[in-house]
Amino acid sequence: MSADSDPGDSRAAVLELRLQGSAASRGIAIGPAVVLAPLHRRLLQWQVVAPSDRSAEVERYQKARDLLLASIRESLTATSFLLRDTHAIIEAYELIATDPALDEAIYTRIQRDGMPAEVAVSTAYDAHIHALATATDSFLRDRRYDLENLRQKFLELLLIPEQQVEHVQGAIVVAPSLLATDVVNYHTNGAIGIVTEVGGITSHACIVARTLGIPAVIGVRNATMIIPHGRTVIVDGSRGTVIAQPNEQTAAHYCSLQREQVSLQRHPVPSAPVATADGITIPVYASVDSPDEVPPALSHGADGIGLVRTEMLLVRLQHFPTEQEQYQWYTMLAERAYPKPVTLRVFDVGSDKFIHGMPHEANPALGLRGIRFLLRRQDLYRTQLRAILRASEHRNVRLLLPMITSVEELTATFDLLATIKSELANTNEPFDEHLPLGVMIETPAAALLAEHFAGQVQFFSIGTNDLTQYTLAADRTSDLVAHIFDQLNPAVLRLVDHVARIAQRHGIELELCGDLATFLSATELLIGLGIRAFSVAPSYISALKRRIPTVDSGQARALVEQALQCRDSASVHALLLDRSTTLTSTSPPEPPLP
Amino acid sequence: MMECTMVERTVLVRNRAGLHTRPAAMIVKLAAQYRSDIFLESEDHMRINAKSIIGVMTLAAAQGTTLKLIVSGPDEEEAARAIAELFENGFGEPI
Repeated sequence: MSADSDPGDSRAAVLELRLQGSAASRGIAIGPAVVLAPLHRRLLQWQVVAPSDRSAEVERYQKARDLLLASIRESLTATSFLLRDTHAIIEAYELIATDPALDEAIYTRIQRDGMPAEVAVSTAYDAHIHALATATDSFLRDRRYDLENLRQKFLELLLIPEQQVEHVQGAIVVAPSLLATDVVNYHTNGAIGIVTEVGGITSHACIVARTLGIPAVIGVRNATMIIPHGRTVIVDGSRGTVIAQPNEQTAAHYCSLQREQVSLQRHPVPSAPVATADGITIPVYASVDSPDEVPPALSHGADGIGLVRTEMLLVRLQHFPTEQEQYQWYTMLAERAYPKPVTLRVFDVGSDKFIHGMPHEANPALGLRGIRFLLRRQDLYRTQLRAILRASEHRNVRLLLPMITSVEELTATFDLLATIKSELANTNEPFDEHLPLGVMIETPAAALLAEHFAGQVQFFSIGTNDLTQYTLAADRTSDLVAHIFDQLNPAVLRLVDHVARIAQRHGIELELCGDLATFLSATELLIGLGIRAFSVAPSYISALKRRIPTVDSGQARALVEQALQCRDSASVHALLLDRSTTLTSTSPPEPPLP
Repeated sequence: MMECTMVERTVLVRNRAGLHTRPAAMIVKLAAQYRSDIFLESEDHMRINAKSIIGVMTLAAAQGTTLKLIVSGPDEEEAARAIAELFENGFGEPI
């Protein structure tokens, strides 16, 4: 090192290592690496076991096999009620571990050929792995990863008797390969991210990682050799990137991205709405699925409930609820939130969210879902609207319509509401005559036609997940187009900007729900665009409420002008990264969470 | 010892995904219920023990593959019928 003692300089001298793999499970994790060393060397250099020692070697093999079986069965119990698919996969692992042909092959290798147990296990598995690797069918070819994973686990049990499972709390596990069972076990023991050297994105370990929501990058070649044990690693499971020894700028960027994922509960959260630096009040609402979630949401500082996904009631009951059942449920929501507002979004069902008896569609995202389904089944729609109107008697209920693409859908809803209101008035049942009505802006059609909705509704709620999916024609559940699905794409931002101008002109409240609301690096941009309320999962509320007062809407508008001129998503991200580093140079970022 | 003949049948992999992990597990679990020796043989004469999941997976049989089912033992007729039926039903998966 030079005589220069500036600590900033020496830190800048550390080489940042960027490795590319395949995005296997979305999300960002930052933590120290726990590197599980590869076993190649032990397997390549071995000596024939003396005949007198071979029985002991067989015993060592059998002991490891019992441990492997115990670990598989433990995962079977742990997953029996949670993950049906995972359960079936792990069941197959049990059959592999007890396979009679494999057992005999291993036994022969030890007793007859004098191989050490780990070499016998490894070569016996290898014979089958090679056979699978030549399969012409890609699904079958990927199955060799299951065998590779199981072999790896077997070898670890033989060679590393004390598993490091206790030491993965808060860490990123870097391994040659992992079993589906390992992912479950590491997750249970607090691991926050996964990096492996092999694996196909359809392999079972990846399916489990996605189910558990643990960020994972797979197929990172030589990861266990390159990534230093104990050093900080960033796993970007959305982009398939792994960064070891990140420099300060990268770390700051990812820390802020990560904070957006994680609940921050260290500081008391203001229970009243917060305002921007220049005094614009921005309520932060909670998105919930049931009345049980309302009290915790309020204690997280929610200014109300910005989205109740009422279709979760259907999923729970497994039938279409009666008016009375719905009335009780909506009343419970309204009473628990009172006097804060509760936004009830009518059933957003489609054949992707399975309800018994619904038609199967090849392309459910573009099919009979949301308002389209309800207008087809007006009996169900009427029942729901009646229940919602009756629950509105305390005047804190708002009504929200999903998947709107035309004014006719709105008109049909008004007709139904008018009929129901007069029925209720005739029987002297209390309800809110001025029940606020909003439409979800989640299709390009709704965004472009917003002007025609504006005079008729009280609020717009932009659903960025679907708006992005429909604008970019990228299935948000597909990993193959995950690189295209980006909520900060300028095409999406331009639609939001268009809607915001109309909302402002007509004095309509503009809210935003969806993942984009939780990206704290985008908060300034969104406020600049004209978003005046957010609805997020309860765990994000406190972070967002601390972020909002740091924004000045005037400066934010300047940022918007730049963002709208960007040609692609990457330019928008670069702009926001640049902006956040300018900000953090004056006020240091919070340290990453433990 | 009882006298053992041998039952041979031709089976077809009908399900779209082929003999992947789950169908393989179904064959092995079913085969394990019979006392007979049960084998599957591919067109290139690779013969595997149907009670071995790793063997069945190693066949790597994709949709449309024809296999020979060879059963020999005290309950061979019953075993052959049950396993052939499993193939016929495409393991309850899309065909």
